[in-house]
Amino acid sequence: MGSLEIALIFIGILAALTGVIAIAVGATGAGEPVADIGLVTLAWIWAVAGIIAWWRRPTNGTGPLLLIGAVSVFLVSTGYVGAPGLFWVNAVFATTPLGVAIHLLMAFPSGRVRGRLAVLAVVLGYVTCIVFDTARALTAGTAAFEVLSFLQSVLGLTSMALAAIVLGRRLRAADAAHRRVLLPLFTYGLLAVICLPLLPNLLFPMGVGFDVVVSLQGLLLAGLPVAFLLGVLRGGFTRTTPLEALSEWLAIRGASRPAVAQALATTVGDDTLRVAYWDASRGQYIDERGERAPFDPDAADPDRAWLQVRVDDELVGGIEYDARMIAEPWPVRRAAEVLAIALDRERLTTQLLVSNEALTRSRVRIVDAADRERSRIARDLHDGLQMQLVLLGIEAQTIADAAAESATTGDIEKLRRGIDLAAADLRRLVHDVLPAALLERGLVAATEDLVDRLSVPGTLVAEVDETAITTSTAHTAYFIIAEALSNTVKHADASHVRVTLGQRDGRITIAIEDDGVGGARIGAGVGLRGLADRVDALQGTIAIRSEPLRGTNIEVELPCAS
Amino acid sequence: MRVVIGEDEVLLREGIAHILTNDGFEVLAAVSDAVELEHEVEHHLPDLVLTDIRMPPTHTDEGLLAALRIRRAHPGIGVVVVSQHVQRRYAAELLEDGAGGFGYLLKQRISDVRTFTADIRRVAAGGTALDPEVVSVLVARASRGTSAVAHLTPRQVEVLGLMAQGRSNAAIAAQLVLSEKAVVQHTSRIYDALGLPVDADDHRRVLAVIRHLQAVVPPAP
Repeated sequence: MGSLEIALIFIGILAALTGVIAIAVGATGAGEPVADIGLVTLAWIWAVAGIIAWWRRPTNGTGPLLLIGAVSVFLVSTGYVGAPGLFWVNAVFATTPLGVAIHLLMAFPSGRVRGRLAVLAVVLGYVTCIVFDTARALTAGTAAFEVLSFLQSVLGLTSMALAAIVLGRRLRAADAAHRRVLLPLFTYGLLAVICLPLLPNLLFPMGVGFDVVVSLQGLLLAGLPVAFLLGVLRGGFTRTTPLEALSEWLAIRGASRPAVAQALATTVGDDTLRVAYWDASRGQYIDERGERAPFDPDAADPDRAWLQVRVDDELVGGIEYDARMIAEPWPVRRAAEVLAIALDRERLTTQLLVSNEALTRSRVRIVDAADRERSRIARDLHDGLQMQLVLLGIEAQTIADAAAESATTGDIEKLRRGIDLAAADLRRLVHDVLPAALLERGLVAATEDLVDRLSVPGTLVAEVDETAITTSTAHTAYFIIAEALSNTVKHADASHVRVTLGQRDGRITIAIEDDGVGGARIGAGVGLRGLADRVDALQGTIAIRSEPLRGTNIEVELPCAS
Repeated sequence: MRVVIGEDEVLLREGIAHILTNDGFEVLAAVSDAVELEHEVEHHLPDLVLTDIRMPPTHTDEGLLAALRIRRAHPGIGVVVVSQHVQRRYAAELLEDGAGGFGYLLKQRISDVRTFTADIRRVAAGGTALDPEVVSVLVARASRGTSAVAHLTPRQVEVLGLMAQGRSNAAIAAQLVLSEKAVVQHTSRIYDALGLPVDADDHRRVLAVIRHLQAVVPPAP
């Protein structure tokens, strides 16, 4: 049970006690028990309505207003308990329920009076009730009494007219659904406010009995709090409070500080409050950027307090706050309990971002490592095996020449040609691993060589500044083109293929188009899948358009420098 | 015949020097990088330069760039470029950049010593030696493109390839086991088909063929 509930229970008890006392006093000699009981019952109705409204809609001002109404009715009842000392209280506050009724009408549905005209109506209402009743009580029996009474009526009517104008405007501005609630409520409220003072003037001349008139007034007054309570609870305005809270919550989302920390700081009133997330994998607290949190929960700073936040017994983070400002941990703990899920979500988001970044970096490293490995293999083959085969060939030929027309000459020549064949195979292998042109001249020369050797007629259009392209990008671009062209040759049955290399906004664009049978897609072979992964790792994009019988069009964009 | 060699691998450098010396060349210098190569060429002004493409310090194409500069500066010096891989672009650059003889061969061709020495002697004399692999790239590309090469008979394509390699009619005849007369007939038909002017000069004939093959553009899609 929260502090609000406790306070409301106390208010209820006090209202009950006050009423019981008033009735008890009124039942003795000088009092008017019937009127007294009636008014106390009326006050109780207002109090109950106020407590319920306050309890169900804590941020709505209608509950407190209804309780003010209850107080005003209690004040009225003082006139009937038969205590001469209290007679003046009744004289001053006899008509305040009318002022409260206007106030309620003007403040509906939020409980706060909005607009200058509405404020004026409310102020006039209270002035008419309290100030003029006081003045009339003081001038009773003099000539001024009549003048004051007249003025009071005029002011009262003015206040009601203003209220009517405000309500009329609000009705006009409201949508149909709200109007259905507002119209009966406002009508009833206005009628009640108008009829309460007029009923005696109207009905007494018609010969209606005093008791009937008072009962009618009582019923009208009793209906007011019930009507407003219903209006607040079911009038379709229930959503205003959570929406407001939500929008406040959303508004702080854009703040530089994490939302949970911001919300907590506002809630517990400590601007130095900081939130850290628990990173179980590293066994340490981290901040919203995924870095080690700059404060140490174990540090013995008496001015700072530390609180762990758990979701289902699992540590999700911690809150550090100013222990001098917040003496007891429970308000922070309660607020943290509310926000624990949100904090856990922020923690997961942070960890996700951090691991995503790490993943991207590691993918780039893998691509680079693969490139370096390729280059090393190609260089080793070039400087080692390829050279050795040339030397072996020369040696074989030298032996053949020295053997001069002997029986072995032919065999040795055959051996040399065998070495040449091996060298040719090795040449193709090296070319596939990493073409010489890519190392010696770069992407365009290598692509040109590729297109030259194609068994399908091909064109190359290249407009790129190769000095701006990093090695890994050039290599990725080359292998994409090589893979795409090899697919075209193998599967597309194309009569022409076109390779376009371009550059814009720090990105290199590659397009490979053929007029073949189409039907290519990334998942179809290991080749394109692997290349798509490479493109992804370098934060590029790859798009394949390949409808059956309409050719294949592969478009790739890569950042020139990664 | 005086020659300067550029090759960064010491065993191969010595092997080449040995082969050339045995074949009667006078090896003036054998160096391991492009800067030294150009320096020695300026110093000796040899008849022939034989160089690797990939050499220190960057191990990219400095051997080729040096060869191109030498060709521009000294049109009289024959330049032979060797490499582990051959491609059309380098051949085109050698063809464009200079007037004298040039050769572009796979390193592996060195081991066929007799053919190799004959090739480089031809270059020293102002002729051409283009590796069969580059030629086959050129011819295949031309036959897919806007050239009349596509309409030649297989035999004619064979003769065209040998012509582009820089071989004389006699050499072509020997290789294809034909009479020289038959080769002449083939070559004149090829000339007609490709629309090239008939030229008695072997060297100019080869250059015209290579230029024709090189100039072919792929068909528009």
